[in-house]
Amino acid sequence: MEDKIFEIVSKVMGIPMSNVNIDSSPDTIEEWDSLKHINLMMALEEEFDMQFSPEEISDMLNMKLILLTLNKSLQEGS
Amino acid sequence: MDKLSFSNVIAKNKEKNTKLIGPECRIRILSNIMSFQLNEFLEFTLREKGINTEVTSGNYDNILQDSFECVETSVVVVFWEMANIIDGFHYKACLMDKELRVDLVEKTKKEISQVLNNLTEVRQVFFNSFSSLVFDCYRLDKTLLTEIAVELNKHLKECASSNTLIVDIDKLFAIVSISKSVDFRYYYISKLLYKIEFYREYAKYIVPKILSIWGLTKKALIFDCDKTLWKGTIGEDGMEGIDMSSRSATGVVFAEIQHLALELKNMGVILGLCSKNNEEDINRVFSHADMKLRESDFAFKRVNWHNKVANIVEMANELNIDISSIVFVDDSDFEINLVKKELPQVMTIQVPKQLSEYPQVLRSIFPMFTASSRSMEDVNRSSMYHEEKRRKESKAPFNDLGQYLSSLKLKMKIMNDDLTTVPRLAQLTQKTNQFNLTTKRFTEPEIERYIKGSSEKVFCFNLSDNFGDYGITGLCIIVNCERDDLKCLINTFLMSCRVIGRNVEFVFMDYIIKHLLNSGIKQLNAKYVATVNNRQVENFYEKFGFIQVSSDTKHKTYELDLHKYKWSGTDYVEVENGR
Repeated sequence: MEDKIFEIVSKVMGIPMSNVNIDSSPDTIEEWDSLKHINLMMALEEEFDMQFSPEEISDMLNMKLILLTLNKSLQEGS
Repeated sequence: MDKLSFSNVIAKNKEKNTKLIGPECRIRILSNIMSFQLNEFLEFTLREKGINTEVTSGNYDNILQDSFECVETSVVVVFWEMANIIDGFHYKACLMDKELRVDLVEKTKKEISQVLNNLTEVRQVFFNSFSSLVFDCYRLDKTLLTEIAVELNKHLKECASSNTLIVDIDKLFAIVSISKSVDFRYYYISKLLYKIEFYREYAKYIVPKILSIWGLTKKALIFDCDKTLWKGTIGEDGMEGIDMSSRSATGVVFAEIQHLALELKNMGVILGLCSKNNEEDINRVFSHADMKLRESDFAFKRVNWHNKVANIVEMANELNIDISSIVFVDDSDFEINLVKKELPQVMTIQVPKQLSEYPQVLRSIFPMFTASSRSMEDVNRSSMYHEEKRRKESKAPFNDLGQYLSSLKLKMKIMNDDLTTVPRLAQLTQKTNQFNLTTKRFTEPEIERYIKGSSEKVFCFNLSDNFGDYGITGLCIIVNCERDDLKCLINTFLMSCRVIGRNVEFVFMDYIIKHLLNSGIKQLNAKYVATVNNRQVENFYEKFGFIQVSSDTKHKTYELDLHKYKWSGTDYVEVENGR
């Protein structure tokens, strides 16, 4: 799943996969602005067929938090 | 057709961008909500058709202001949502003072006139109809919101000239469904009303019209015969065995298909036949009592046992039409896949396994043919009528942007070192990306320190007009105010995107400069720090007479002798001192 998320981040931000890693965040990826962040959230919701809460949407501002939130939501969903 | 996921649309869109040449299609989206997902879908859908497209968005809620600057644009799309005519209009309208509401609707009508007037030179305008459907779809009675939408739409129709297509947004809701179109989570977070599914369909919906402007309309529709125009196989089932009767449950679908094909033919679409059969068998079918289509309805026929790809290419050559203007309909996996593989420019339609869906599939591609084939006479007649009407009516309500802005009766309350504003100011520094000169982020204690500090000054403003309050939407922090050399520095200057496009930054700066002059300050220094988002303010300080003293790729520094400040002279904003 980690790879899948890295891939989505790279596509949405328009940067190579090699620039995305577990420590990525708006601080390490210049393209990750507020608009791209919303695109990322929508892309993840579509890909994993789930809905984040408004708080999660504003908080998921680094790769670790994204993984954590997705894992949590997927477990709750199953 | 399989849907591409949003992230794949973004990725493929980027890929295609580098490959396209040819005349550029510049599309600008003017919107009073956030709608930037549409850019990706529209760009991708058009680039995929080989059109060198670039889609950009105007500023948030700046439809009127941006419409003054669309001269070089090929296509403009207008999203003017009732819900955000003023913040929360969809729930406030009902309880609003009636007089105020009438004023607001009148103001909106004037703005619509102005926008359409400004856009007359644009080749194609798509203007969404006003809709209350999302908010009153459960209501049996006619709601006030519906009445307002009807009134605005009537006005819109009256003002629209021939370059403007009013997009019936309710049809989009019908196609996508309201629950898949709208997501209030994102609306409350950042004024994004629509979901990606809606934008995907929206792009699909308007693209045929843009393609027709680019000369890419479909012109010919080629049918296979057996199981495509009738039920059964003539070679095996014979005349009695095939069925396209409107009185039989299985034949009726084909009767409907034949009627639709004829309708298309009457609209100017060329019909063709391409079938692996004995020619005499097919000729016999045309004498069948239930056949709606006649042999003469088909401009060309290829009934033989040759490869269908070769047949299609031959027909295109014979008619001298581009291969990409052909749509091919067949029931067979083999034939469809072969054409897809060998002639990817040809649009293919496979007869659905569920036959009952077949007519609707054919209806869904009507716009590919008809977007431009409406008789030119019709177009001219209606446009002449509208031009005439427009000439009779008074022209644009406003001569220029200044006149419009002065009609807004803006009121600005400026506060200076006000501790009650701390939470909002910290939030503004955290959230503002576009109109932000240095993009410094501050916490509440940090803002508080600035406010309490004796050598720092924190100015902010609250903006309102007759119809509502935008809240605290601008901030300026000045530091080094107590230095002996009387030189201070703008540490932060920002404005929320809610109030961009109203020239209030000039009024704010005038006020600040006056204040600094009164405190005996001689020089004001400033910085612009570039980010991905704040390009729109890269030349901000130049407008006030600041002199650039140094620059590199990401920074520009400025100095201003306060006595050389360029006063804006903006006189249409009423300024009030807070505290």
